[in-house]
Amino acid sequence: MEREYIVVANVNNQISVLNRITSAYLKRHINIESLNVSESYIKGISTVVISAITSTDTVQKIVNQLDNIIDVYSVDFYLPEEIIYKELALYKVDSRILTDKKESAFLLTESNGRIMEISKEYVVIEKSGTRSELEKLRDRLDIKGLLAGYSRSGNVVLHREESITSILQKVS
Amino acid sequence: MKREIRGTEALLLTLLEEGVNTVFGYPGGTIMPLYDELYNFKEEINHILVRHEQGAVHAAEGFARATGKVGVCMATSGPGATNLVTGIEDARIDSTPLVCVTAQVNADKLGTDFFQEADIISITIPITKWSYQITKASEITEIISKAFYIAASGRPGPVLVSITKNALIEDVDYQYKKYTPVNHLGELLKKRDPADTSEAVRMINSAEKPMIIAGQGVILSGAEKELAKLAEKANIPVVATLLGISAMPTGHPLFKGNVGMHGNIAPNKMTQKSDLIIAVGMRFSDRVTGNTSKYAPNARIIHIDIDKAEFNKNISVDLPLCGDAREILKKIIPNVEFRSREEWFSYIDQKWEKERRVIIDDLMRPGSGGGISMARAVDCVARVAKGDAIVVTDVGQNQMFSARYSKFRKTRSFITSGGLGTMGYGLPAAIGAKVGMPDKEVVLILGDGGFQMSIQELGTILQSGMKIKILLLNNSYLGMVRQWQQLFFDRRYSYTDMINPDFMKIAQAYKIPSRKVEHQSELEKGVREMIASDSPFLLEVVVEKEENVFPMVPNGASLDETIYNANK
Ligand SMILES: Cc1ncc(C[n+]2csc(CCOP(=O)(O)OP(=O)(O)O)c2C)c(N)n1
Repeated sequence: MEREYIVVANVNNQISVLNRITSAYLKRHINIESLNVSESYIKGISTVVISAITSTDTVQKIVNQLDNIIDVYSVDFYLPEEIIYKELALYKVDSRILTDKKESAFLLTESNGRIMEISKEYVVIEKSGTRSELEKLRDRLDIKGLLAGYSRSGNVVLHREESITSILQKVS
Repeated sequence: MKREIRGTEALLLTLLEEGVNTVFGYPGGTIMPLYDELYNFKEEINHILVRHEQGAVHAAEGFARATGKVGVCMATSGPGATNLVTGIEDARIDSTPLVCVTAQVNADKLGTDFFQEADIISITIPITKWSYQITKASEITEIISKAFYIAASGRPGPVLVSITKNALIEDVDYQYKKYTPVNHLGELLKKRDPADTSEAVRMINSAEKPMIIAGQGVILSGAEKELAKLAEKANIPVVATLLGISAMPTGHPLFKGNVGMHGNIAPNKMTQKSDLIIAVGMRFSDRVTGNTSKYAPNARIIHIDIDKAEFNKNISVDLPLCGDAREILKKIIPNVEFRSREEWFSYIDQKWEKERRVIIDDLMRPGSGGGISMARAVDCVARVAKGDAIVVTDVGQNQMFSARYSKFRKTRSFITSGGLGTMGYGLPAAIGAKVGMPDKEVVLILGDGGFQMSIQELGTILQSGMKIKILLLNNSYLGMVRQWQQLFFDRRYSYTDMINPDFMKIAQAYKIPSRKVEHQSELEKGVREMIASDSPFLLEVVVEKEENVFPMVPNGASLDETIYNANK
């Protein structure tokens, strides 16, 4: 069965390693839904988080191949429910929303949006959450004709149990 | 001791430290400083000037496959570098250790479409085991040493190092330090824990119809002796994949032939009947398995490989053992027991009897009319060279006949392009093999199509005087494609017939002694003349035009669905 899998790799922060990782997906003709690279708390090591829709069998094979990349220290895959992960989205919303009590209450309290900037025409709202939460808000604003722009980051993750130092031991 | 030298000198000194004495290459604008430096190293480094960069990378592959060392090739930026691509992918898929050094435009010009700038790092990302762009001379020594370590360690493969021109000509404090693999904290990496082999031993000792499939991993890990020992101690027949050929002498009583699409009947039938397959250093390629869902229906499988990404990739296995094949076999051997397996061996004998009856006897019968069979030509080389030659092949029917009818006594004696099936591989790979093993007889077997894909390398032979023996099996067809057209496309021979040049005149132009054989009766004499020759030699054998390689397991069919002749 195809579903979302999140691959988390700890890599040597080196120029071509990201291309090597994405090339393993390209090779199997799998589209990457979201991708985030950020420095981990260990100097020189970055964490790459990739989400893609595929099968367990395929993601396992991709992970095996990623593990062979010299500059990948460790890599594993997870189902979304197995890890804590969040994305950040920015919404550019028509400033008419400020006069719509019901909508602005929904936006700022119920869905936990935060106002970043207000201008005459637009309000920029920031919200973090899972992709489906972010998209739900986007769709709601869109249907109401209030959405003028939308942008979403890739996933940032923390594993519930493991620490990265414990999984960085590759053998020679 | 540190000393200040140019980047180019640092590069060549590092190559020497890594044990390199031969490189294959071709100069050009960006790499000129390095070629200028090579001029100072003529005593220490033998640079073979090829005629096309693809020739350089295939020659480096042939060198690596024949010697077990890392092959090295060099090319200039832009078109020089892109001409390496086919060979790099060939080396990746066949696990051949290479270090490819390409020049690149100055670091401050990267990305400007400078003259002869090609983004070779991006181009080769999916086909290299590792790559790195050096932009400062101070990186050269460490990166080159690391490149050799990575190319040769674990599952070997190609590494590409691109060096910007400024790094080549800058001065640097030179100090060689051999690369050692470390983790992110700079600590030495731990050795892999040896695999637990007790279950494997139990499985082997309780099997009635076991077989060992030897892949190239046996050769890469130097496990030839252990392979024979395991087979002898437990009395288990051994078969080879295309790249596993010569890991066990073809004359060994337990060696039972080759598996795969054009393998022998017995090994393929054994696969379907066996109750235990011990797969050593092989990757269950589709050319070996045929239809995977019908592969080895009765067998449990022990898969020994150093690359854990191979486990369960194509075939699901019962016991994966990750590690060096030699070390794992060494652990297994002391605990296995001898079983006589009479029924199993008599089954194998029967299948060999069938192979002789339906395939071999017809091909080998003297004066059976018709043209010369490729099988007879290959068999003739095997008899005359007494199994001591390194056989290098190109791709196509010539390759499959070579695999089927060659005889080998020593390991690393069969050099061929397996996973990529790269036509044009043969001639340059033979050059590399001969440079690496100058005292060995090197016989190159190829077709008229593949010959013309790298025929310019005859110039390399002319210039370097290598005594390579070339057996050209000329059917004036792209034979293997024509065979598929005959069998699967209703004989519609779409663009597979070839109008060829006069190969004798070509040989003459390159000052290579030659002979053309058109009749069966002259074959042996021609082969003897070729092998006895103390110079390079081209023997053109005009073979039967529409001969087919049989038996054959058609593409995607199961190993049970072998066809034995064109009437299917
Ligand atoms: C570079 C490349 N192009 C195309 C092919 C497809 N191909 C496989 S075998 C073959 C025919 C080879 O003909 P020839 O070299 O004359 O050898 P023969 O099969 O007749 O022995 C072709 C075209 C290939 N393997 N490699």
